[in-house]
Amino acid sequence: MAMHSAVKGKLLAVIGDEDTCVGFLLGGIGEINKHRHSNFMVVDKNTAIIDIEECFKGFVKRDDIDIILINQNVAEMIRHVIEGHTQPIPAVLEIPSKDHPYDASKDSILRRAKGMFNPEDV
Amino acid sequence: MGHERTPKQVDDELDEICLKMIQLMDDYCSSIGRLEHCLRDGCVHLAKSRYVMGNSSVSDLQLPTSGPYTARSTVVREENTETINLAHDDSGDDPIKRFGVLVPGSLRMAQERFCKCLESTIEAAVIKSEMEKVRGNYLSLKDTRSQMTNKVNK
Repeated sequence: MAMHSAVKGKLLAVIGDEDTCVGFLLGGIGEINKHRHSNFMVVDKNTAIIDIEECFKGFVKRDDIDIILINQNVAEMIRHVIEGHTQPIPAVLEIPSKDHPYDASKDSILRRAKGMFNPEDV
Repeated sequence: MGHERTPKQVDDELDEICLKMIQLMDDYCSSIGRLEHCLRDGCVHLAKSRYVMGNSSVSDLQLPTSGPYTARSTVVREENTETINLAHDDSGDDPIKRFGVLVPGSLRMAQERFCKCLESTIEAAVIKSEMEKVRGNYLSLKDTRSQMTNKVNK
């Protein structure tokens, strides 16, 4: 994979548990812009679903974000909002977390793709 | 004069698109699998760092709260292609410095693993955008095919 140096591109945003956020921020994707808006959100057991929804919608509206990474268990909480997002940019990727392994049957893109092979549609 | 496609040609194209989609689904699952593997390794190294440095020394308390704070890794999309690349800017501070000056090797290992995760993430994003494109083609072709069937029925 090609790596570009010293080119300012668009951001990756993360919504996930503490380890996912700490890890990806260690990887260097964290940013807080001049309006004090960050591109990450740590979700714990006390986080309200409405806050996650608002954060996701906020990331979708921002034009400096290209990819949104969201833990699959968190994505399950706001599935209706994720299903409603059909634009190619920002791309929403459901990623596994430490406690919740990846389940392909829950991923929005794979579910949409599987719909192509529905025998009722043929 | 436009070239009229026969129903057989459209069916063949639909078959090809379906095969391509199956291949893409397989590639997508593989890249998410690689991402999961790196992520799990990274989390183990984070846990080791916590054991050495203490619970609160590797937590969300180290995440930046006041700005401006600039990202070192960003995403660059090539124009007119599906290619997405990772751009790396080393001019800012290394994020590992937020965790202290003398950090354990396990935290550096965790950082390396999460950097690898980013590469798998970009790979998955490229495949995902390709899947969206293929699905769009499939839907429009299927529409064409049903119009052909309607014409024949009339």
